Order: sequence, then C-alpha cells, then structure tokens
Amino acid sequence: MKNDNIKLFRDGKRVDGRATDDLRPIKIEAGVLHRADGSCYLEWGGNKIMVAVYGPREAIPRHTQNHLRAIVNARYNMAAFSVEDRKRPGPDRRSREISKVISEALEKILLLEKFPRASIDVNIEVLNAEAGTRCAGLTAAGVALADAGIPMKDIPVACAAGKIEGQLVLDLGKEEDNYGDADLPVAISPRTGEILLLQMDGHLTFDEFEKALDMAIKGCNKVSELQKAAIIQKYKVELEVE
Amino acid sequence: MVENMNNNLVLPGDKLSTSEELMPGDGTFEEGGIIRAARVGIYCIDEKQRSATVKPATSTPVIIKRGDIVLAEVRSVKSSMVIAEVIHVKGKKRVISSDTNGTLRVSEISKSYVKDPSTEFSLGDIIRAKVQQVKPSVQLETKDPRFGVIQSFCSKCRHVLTKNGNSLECSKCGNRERRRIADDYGTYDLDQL
Amino acid sequence: MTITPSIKREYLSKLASQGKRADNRKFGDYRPIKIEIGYIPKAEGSARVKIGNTQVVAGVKMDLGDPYPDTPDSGVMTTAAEMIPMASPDFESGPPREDAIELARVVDRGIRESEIIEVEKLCIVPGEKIWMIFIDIHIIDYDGNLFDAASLASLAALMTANVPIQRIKPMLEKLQERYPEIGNYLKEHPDNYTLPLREPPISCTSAKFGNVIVMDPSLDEEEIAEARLTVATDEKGDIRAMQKGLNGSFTVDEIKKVIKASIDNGKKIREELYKIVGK
Repeated sequence: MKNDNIKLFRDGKRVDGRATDDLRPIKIEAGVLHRADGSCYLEWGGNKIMVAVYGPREAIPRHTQNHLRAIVNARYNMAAFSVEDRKRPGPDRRSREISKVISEALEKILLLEKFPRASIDVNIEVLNAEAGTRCAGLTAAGVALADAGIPMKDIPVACAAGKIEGQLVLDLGKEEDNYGDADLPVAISPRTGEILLLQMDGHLTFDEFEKALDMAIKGCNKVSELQKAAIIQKYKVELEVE
Repeated sequence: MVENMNNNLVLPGDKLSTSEELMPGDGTFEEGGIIRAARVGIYCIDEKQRSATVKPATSTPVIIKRGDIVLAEVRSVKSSMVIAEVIHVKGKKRVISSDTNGTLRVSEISKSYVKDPSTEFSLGDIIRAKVQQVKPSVQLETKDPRFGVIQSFCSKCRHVLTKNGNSLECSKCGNRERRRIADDYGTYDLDQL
Repeated sequence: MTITPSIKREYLSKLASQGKRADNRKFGDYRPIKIEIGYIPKAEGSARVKIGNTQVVAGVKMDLGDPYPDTPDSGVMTTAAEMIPMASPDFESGPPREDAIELARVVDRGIRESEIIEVEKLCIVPGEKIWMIFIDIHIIDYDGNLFDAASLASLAALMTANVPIQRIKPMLEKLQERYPEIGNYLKEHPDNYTLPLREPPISCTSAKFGNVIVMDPSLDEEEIAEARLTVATDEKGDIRAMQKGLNGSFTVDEIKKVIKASIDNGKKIREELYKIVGK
C-alpha cells in the first residue's frame, strides 16, 4: 500500500532510527512454560510470541497418521487483543495459510522417521503483533522444538527483508510493512543455507530480489546466534546445578 | 564405557565426528559421512559400541525401552495372555511417543506356574511391569514382587479395592477378590511411580 | 503427568486424610500469585497473572458500537475465553468447548453483575453510539484454578485500561457530521482517559474431594475433584457472584465455610491487586 504522505526515511535512517541492515531488538527465552514439552518466549521489536511444543504423541484423528513418520502440526494463532482492531478469536484464512507454510518448513528439518503415526504439535501464539509475526513465530518454534528435545538436523530461523521507498531494508517494522513496496519473509536452515520458507509480496526486480534475499539470509544468521545463545543460557545453568 | 568429551553443550546440527571413526548413536544423525548432534546436550563417545551420542540436556520424547519399569492399564484378559496399554514410564513426565500396546504372556506373570491369567488380573487394573522387549511388539513381565497390580476395581461395583491381608476387599459392597498384587499395593508414593 | 486420575485420587485422598497436600500447602492456602500489568501494548488494558504454574493473559480492547435497544445509553461488555492447545495437552483447537464457555461466563458475571464498569459513562451518542468493551482471556499454561486466574487477570486488565480516544478520533470526527453531539463528547474527553470503574469483587475457588475441601486447587486436585465452588466477594465482604461446578455436592455447612474462607482470601488478593495497579 503506497502512501506519499508518509516518509519512511529521515536523514538516511529508518523511522525507528535503524540503518537499512539493522534488526529490531530481539529477546529470546527457552523453556518458559510448565505444561508444554518444550517452549519459547520471544520479543522481536513490538512482537510478543509464545510457542509451546507437545509430542510426539499419537496423531488424532487417526486418518491424519502417517505410518512411516510423524506429522508436524503447527498452529499459528493471533490473540484477539494482539492487534489494533480486536481480532475475532479462532483461525481465519490468513492464519491457516501461515500455519501450513510453517508446518512444511519445520517438517524438512525434524527427524520424523523415529516417530511413526505420531504428531508433533507446535502452538504459536501471537500475543502482541507488530509486523513480521510469521518470521518471529517460526524462529521461536525452532527454539521450542530444541527445548522439547525433538531430534532435528538444525535449528530453523526466519527473517524478512523488503523494499521501502525504493531502498532494500532488513526486517520491516510496522509502518514499513504497511506502506513499503515489498516484503520477503525467508526461513532457512542456517547450517546448510537451505531455504525452508519463502514468500514475497509487492514488487522487486530480479536484481533487487537477489540482494534482498542475501540481506534476509544474513539477518537469519544473526538471529540464529541469538537462538543458540538463548538455549545455551537455559541449559548451561541447569547443567551447573547438576 | 561412555567418555564425556567435554562439558560444552552441543546444539542440533553441530558436527561431532565422521562415520569412518564412529557409528551414529543416540541423539545424533549422519549426513554425507558426518555425524552431527540431533539434540541439545553433551557429546559422549560410547567406547564399547564405538558410537557418538548426545546425552540430552533437555527433556526428551519418551520411547519405551527394554528394561523400563512402566505402569499399564489392563485392556483385556485372554486365556494365554493379558493385553495392557502402557500409560507411564517410571521417572518420566511426558506422554509416551512410541507404541503403547503391551502384552503380558501367561508364562511371564509369576515365577510360579499360572494356569489362567484371569485368576491374577482383571479388566481396568493398573499394573506395574518391566519391559522385556519392544520389537516387534512391547512385551511385559511381572515376576518380581515389586511388580503386579497397584490399583484395582471391584468387578461388581467398580469401587477401588483395598488390601486386606493377602486378598482385596471392596469397602463398598464387601466383595472379596484375588489379584497378583505388587508389594506396595495401595501404599505407593505418586512421585516414585 | 501421565498417571491416571484414579491413582491420583487414591494418593491425594490418603495425603489429605493426614492433613497434607502434594505441594505442602495448607488446605486454605493459595499458591504464589504474580500480577503483571501492561503486558500487551496493543490492548487498551492488559495483565498477565500467574497462580503457581497456571498462567493467563487478559486483554481489554475497546471499539465504537451500537447500543442494545433496551439499554440505549449504556456501553456493552463481552467476555471470551480461549483454552488454546498451548496451555494443556488436553485442550484441542476449534470453537470453545463447554469448559471455556463456562469460564468466560463466570468471569463475565463476576464483572457484569457486580457493576464494576460504569457502563452509563460509556455512552457517546444516546441511542446511537456507545463504547464496546471486549475482555479476551488467553490461557497460556494450565495447572489448575483457571477461574481465579482468569478473573484476576481480567480485573487487572480493566483497572489499567484507557479509553482509546486518540485511536478512534478519526472515526469519531467522521461520525460528527451525522451526530453533532460527538463534538461535546470530544470536548469533554480530548484525550485517552481511565476506564471508569467501581470496586471489584474478588473470586476465590475451592474444590472438594473425598471429605476435604481445598482452596486454589492444583491441576491434580482439580482432576479428582467431585465438586467446585467459586465465590466472588466485595470489599465489604458481601457475596457478588457464585458458581458451583462438577457432579458432586456440598453440604450447607461446607458452603458457609467456603464463603468465609473466600472472604478472607479475597481480602488478601485484593490488597495485592490494588498494590500492583496503583490504587
């Protein structure tokens, strides 16, 4: 959505004072819930995300079971109070689509063959939303899955790049998301560089896409370090106590 | 012997060894000749098996293993065996991620001869048992005095039976029943199950 | 925990007969209560409440709406609770089940019937435009006693809520062409203002199993409970809402005892709540 009255750059800085390749502040905490098998709380800019992992457990209903491997059931949900205008509770078409692409991204990275007929349920709750919730949700899911001890090949991570006022930038903020020219959320396996999730809306030339993707991947790698630090923080202490 | 490499945590994806040197063990996976960690924990080498393993730092999915002490609920009593669903593995808090259908053959019930399983167990009994085998199916045994029924219900009125000497009694209807009971029937500690 | 309720019942009843609870609390004691306000910046008012390991987030959102024909000059309040699958392995996704509806309605009654919200002050154009208040309760971690956690979180969210004049102003100014009265309303309320509230009643929940009654039941205690009673009492110690749940029963004497204990605990919880919201 273009709006000529809104200026997204001032003196070469973005509206929130960031440079083009800066991330918003990120805080990650692993293992925050009592009931869940694994969990993560993540703040990313104004986003507040909680993720709970349950399983592997018997997949219900039965017809969803795969007798060779576990299925991944991600459920992305926005709390009614998480957005400016109250959202009606329950899934809508947008949240179902996001749930689907996140489930598929996670399936690639988990070692599912060890758990035939089971499901791994990943509940992503957006408590406060401010641009980039799917990337924040997937990033928190990666930490929660590791916290649940689910065997995995890597900790998946996500970050978006985009274009505002003709310039490529990392990690769109709220106004940038609303009034920018393009948004490119990307999830990767940071160890191999494989792309697990990719969406784009807006308008990019091929050249711009190449640069934006490179920017998003660099952002993913930075966020990946924060994920690892959060896990080490949680379990270093527990090992020392032992 | 399990050798602890160092006290640093390894994370999923971290390189541990190569498949030329070691076998990929518990908590690892192999990809293109490289053995990597599949979970958060401490890298260990099992010298006997010549395998790389990751001792988990997190809780992990519960998979029923040979030698586990479990609780199971009796689902049916047949002439040669008892079918019971494993509901809990001792010391674990999480639900079981593997197949939970257990079988207890008549010969594995007691050290002494049992002719008919229905004299020892009844539908709905909660039993403590040891896992003998997991593949191709979960096989249980209850020979030790620690094993057997830890809770059972009156076959007439479904009230919980209480231990009275060597037999069980229903405090509601006075019905007396016989079971192969575990030595802590009715006196177990929830945290020790 | 994967142990069946029948095993828990036998064990916890035995402990109770010795005057004990599994977490070493006295029968009348609450677990530690933690209230955090302003947890959700997007909401007009919000709070996160922990009672032991139980964790609930409540958010208040406000919007313009049309009044009900029978109360043309009053604001409207709705309460919804979501028992999302995050909170418990037993909660399923999908439309709210009976449990979630009962929970939302009990919290709603505690707020509505005690007339905490001064709804008559939430009218913008009589008969035409009023404020709608949505209280949404998100259960994040379920370890028993959702009733008290949900109602406490809702109260803390309401008591810290601001009427969002700034956000709604463009819409109000547009409506002003049709309803000139809005000009007066905006003159009176040029900026966000604190939601007008009266003194809140505090809910306390007890559960009965065997022949003991415990306050603030944990999940294990709730799972084996035969009967449950929630009592909301106000500052004066008067009763403002009650709900008896589950298929067991109480004697009249037990009910009276539970009410007395609820008044005592309610007093302590109210002090804590006032301290946090700065009242």
